[in-house]
Amino acid sequence: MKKTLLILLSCSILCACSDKKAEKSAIMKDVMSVHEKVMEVDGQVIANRMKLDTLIKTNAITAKDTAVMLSKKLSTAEDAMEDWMHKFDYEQKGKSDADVITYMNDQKKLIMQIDSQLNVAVTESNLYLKKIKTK
Amino acid sequence: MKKLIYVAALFMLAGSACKFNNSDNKALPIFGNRQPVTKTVNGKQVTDTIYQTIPAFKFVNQYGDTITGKSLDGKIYVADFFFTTCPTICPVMHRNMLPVYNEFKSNPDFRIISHSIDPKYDTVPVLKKYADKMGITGNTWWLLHGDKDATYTIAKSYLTSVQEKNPRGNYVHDGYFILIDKQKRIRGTYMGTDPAEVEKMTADIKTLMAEPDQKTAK
Repeated sequence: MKKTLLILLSCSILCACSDKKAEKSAIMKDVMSVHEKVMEVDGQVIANRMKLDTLIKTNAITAKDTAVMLSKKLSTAEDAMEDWMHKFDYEQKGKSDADVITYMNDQKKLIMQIDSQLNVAVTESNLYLKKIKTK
Repeated sequence: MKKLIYVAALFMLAGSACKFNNSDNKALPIFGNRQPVTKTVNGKQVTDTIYQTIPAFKFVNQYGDTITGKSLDGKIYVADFFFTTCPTICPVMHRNMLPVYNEFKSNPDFRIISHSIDPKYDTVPVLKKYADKMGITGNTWWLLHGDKDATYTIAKSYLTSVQEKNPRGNYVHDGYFILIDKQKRIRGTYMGTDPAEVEKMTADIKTLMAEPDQKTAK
């Protein structure tokens, strides 16, 4: 009886471990795929910010206020992305599976927020760049 | 007799197909924008093609040395874009670039330039540390730090070729390696995360080095 209990206990511990490993691997993969997607949006953010900065610098537009505001918004989103990248620790050396899962879930939330920030900045600047008439 | 003629014709056809393939292998295509230019030579109108070249630039390498387009005069080189804190594709790209570096590091006419797209973090000392960790020494592989906008502007020139290959892929963070000849023209684009494509690039570098106008160009 004791033996059977021991075997059952070992089995359940092993299963829990492999579940945690799979969960850790899935969330790490998930964060990375969000990161890749966000990097593409980041490329558009930089391109639009550069377009606006050129318009402002070359005095190609009469009213600069909106362009300046949008460029700042893009810059802030760009900085948020950079800050996240600098702080993000993918390797998580010496951390337990449970700690890595918690960390990665938190990071996913953070990068999703940055993704929204980047997307808003891109959408608004795209609209402006489409309708703006240069001198 | 008829059968014999057919067999002989088949052999001749196969032979010419092989020849065609061989001559194809001798020169790489030229990518990027191009413009036809008509000029008069000895009273005759001649149309020439002007190919897109990589414009002038100024960055700093991992040793703190200024690197410009002139530093690459007379060199065949591969360019890419990366950042040291990138957790996804960059480590794979540079792991795949290492065999290319090792194969050509003794060739004075070859360079690799990796532009950091995160200059705020990737300062010169950070790039040097990264180079040391990768085992990069000497002047074959330069890791470049510079103004972010200047990096994204030069990226546009390199990535025209990528757009030709894949109209949807227009992002600096796509992981492409771009092969540039001594005339600063784009001669190949390769997915840096794919070892098979990087192997093809190594073969293409050898083909390019053997092209007559590359051998003589200074």
